[in-house]
Amino acid sequence: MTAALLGFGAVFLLALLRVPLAFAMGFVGFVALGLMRGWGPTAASAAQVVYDTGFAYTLSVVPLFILMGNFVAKAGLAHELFRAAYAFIGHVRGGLAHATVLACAGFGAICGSSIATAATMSKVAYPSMKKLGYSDYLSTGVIAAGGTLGIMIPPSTIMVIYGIVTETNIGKLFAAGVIPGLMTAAFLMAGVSWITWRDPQAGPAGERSTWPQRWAALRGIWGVLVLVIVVLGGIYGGVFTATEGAGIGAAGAFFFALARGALPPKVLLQVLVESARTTAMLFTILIAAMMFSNFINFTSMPGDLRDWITHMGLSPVMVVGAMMLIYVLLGTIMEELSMVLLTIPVFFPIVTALGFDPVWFGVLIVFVVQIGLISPPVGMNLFVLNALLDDVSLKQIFRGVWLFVLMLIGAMLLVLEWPQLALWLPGFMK
Amino acid sequence: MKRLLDALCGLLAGVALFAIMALTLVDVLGRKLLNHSITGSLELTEILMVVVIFAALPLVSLHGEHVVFDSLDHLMPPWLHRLQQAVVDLGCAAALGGLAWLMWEKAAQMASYGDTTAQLQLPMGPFVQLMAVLCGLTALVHLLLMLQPTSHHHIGVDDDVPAGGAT
Amino acid sequence: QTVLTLSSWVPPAHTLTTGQIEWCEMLAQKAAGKIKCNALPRAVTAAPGTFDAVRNGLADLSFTVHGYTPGRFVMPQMVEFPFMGDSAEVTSVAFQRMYAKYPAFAEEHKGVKVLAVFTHGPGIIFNTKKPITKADDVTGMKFRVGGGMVNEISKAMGMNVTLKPAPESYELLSTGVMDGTLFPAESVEGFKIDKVIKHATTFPGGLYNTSFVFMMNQAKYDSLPPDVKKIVDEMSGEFAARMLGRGWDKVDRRGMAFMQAAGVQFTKADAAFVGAVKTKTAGLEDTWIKAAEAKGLKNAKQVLADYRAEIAKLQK
Ligand code: NA
Ligand code: NA
Repeated sequence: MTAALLGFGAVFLLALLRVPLAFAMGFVGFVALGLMRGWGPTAASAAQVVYDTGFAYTLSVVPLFILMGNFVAKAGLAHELFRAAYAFIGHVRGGLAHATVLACAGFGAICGSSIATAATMSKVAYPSMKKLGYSDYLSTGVIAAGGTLGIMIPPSTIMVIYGIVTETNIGKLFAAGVIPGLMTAAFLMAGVSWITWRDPQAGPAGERSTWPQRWAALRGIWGVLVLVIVVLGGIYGGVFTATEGAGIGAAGAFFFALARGALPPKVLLQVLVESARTTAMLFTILIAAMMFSNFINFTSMPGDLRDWITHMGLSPVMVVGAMMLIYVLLGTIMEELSMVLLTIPVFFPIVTALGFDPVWFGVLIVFVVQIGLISPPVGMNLFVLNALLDDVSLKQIFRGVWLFVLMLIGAMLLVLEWPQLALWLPGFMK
Repeated sequence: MKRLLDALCGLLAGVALFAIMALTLVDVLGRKLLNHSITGSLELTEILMVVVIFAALPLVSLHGEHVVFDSLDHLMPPWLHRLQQAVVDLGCAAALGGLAWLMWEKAAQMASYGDTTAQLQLPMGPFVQLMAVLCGLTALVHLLLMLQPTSHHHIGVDDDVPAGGAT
Repeated sequence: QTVLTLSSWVPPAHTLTTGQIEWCEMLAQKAAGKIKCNALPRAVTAAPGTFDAVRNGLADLSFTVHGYTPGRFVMPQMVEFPFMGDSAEVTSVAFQRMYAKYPAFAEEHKGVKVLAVFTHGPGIIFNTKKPITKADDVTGMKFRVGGGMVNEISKAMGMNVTLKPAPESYELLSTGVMDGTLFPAESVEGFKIDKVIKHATTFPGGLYNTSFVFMMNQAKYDSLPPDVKKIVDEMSGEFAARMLGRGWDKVDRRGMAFMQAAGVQFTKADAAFVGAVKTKTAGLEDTWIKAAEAKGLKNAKQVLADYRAEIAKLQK
């Protein structure tokens, strides 16, 4: 136990000293394992981890879902989603913010990443909100929070990674995210209503669209529908696996963007390279987290923690609740992917030993990642917005987002209390 | 120099990623329509994945896209920050250099065992060597960064393409 | 006290994990506590990296499938040919005897201390579509297979084969992406496909038997005190092969009962079907004989016949 805690401490210390997180985890994992098992075996193990993670067929979904999202963004589908949502709901107070949430949910159905969803929406929705005189705290808060729908509504890259490391069925995980995702969207819209009720100046109403305008806007989103039906329909209809679905989705998005003339060769290469770079960045974290958890595997921590929890005498749901609390707290200061990768080897066996469904736990994990992504001080979605929107300060973004953090926590607690919210839909799968 | 690296590694990684996408599409279509899947599509995907990841790795380092906690940066005088970055880059270069060496050794070991892929029987050694070379190249990039530091770049914040991560 | 670090890449309740732990406990008892095992909560590496992990000393004790590192092991492919045997205990012991008799086998395992080689039970064809009663029935059907000789056998039989990891079986079959898979009876329960598959075709002697090796880190073995080493030696070879094979037979029987309860329809391949498979896969033996001789096994054809004779003797 002491060894493991020292290891975690060393990772944090190095990260604070501005060592890239992946290098901090990899380095600590390597040195610690070397001290425990000898340098020869450790060196061989490091090479093996790099090899295993590189040549991993199932992990090919990661770059492919990223690529799909990037093609879709290039094709301008986000604009159309936003326009359609606005046509229906733009005239109410905070209408643009509501429309942002809906557009995020729609975009989330074809993009597997929260950061990409938030970044795309910031370009689509923020200028409109600015023009209508929305307060920055509301517009940035809702974009940051809405972006997190990208990982709850399938496809979802983080679900894929969870599915792979825990050997949980990815198709079921995807199905399990649908209802919690829609529920989260409703919670976020309730948050918008609350803010605009307290501060009507924050989000003035827009013009009411006519029904012909609405139908016209709706026709613009057929591309999204086609992609959703092809990818999810193909996976559940038995045409291809979830792993292959990512490739089909990327190809579909590619042809779609191509048909729209959005992909001259130079842009195509740029999209491909950007996606590859994101992939490489993620895989350095994956590889390093594997090295670190190889070290944890040799410590007594997993066993000690299990004993400790069983001796606490908590009810099983309370145990998971306590884990969620730890995650939410960790998520404020940690990068979420590494947080999940570092803790899953410790927490997951406890959860399954308590008899819980790994699919349900996976949905809860996505919730804590969503929360961590928008909870200050360290939240990637907030940083992304801060960097993309030159005239908004981080302070403004922090101010607007806390209510949405509470909304996400609320949605998570509902799923914690009623697992059926997550498990009902995958229950229909054979 | 930077531009050459960008062009070469970018082309390699980009083409490999496109190939994975095309391969999946053709494989699924072939299986559905012609009742025949591509021999070795799984192992080709794995090899192409390695190319995507490791050819893009030098670029991630070059553009400062690794996840870094830079929240404390403003608390530090510029000279100290500069020094800290140089030390970190030296450490990263050493780590990647070491890894490159380990992968090179592994490649030699696999070649001596005669390890191949399962269906196409392609020798594995050369691909592992490629991993080693690209790790080594990334180590050199970090040495270059000691002389010419780059500012940290939060991924997903590119001007044109919102390349979001897993989260 | 010496502590052996045990790493197992199959789930904790799998017969190969419990079998290894049982072996450890027996060892600890015989050595009066001078040695014990520490079973890690999780494997040190994925299955294909296990041989190297033991060789390099990351784990002291583990097992692996020869076919997971293609190109490395030629000799063990011999035991994966069709119709070798219905009992994993028998084929395991016979395999171990061949291993001890012909040094070319050990030659391929250099770098680790081999405790035993063994096989799993008879391989079965499972599918979700129709009863497979003759050789032509499989043409055009889509099957998932793992690595090793089963890959060659299924291709030779004219199946539309895709190589996919075993844990993906459930997804592939339940969504209809694939029509079937080749497994021993045990794996149906292990990979939770009992509710998905509808038909099973068994063969006398099995369509294939996957070969395994149970091994220890060489340096660790060398460092053992002489009395402990002697106990390890006694518990190696046939003793361990028999123990692991017997364990596999037990879970195969359980898997069979499980499938019968789930309503899986069984078909026994008749003489005509078996004959057709023999014809179609005859070329594989010739290919293996050439490859094995090129890698230093003298008179490989005779060794193969010897293996079959040994099985026949043991079955009596
Ligand atoms: Na999504
Ligand atoms: Na965070």
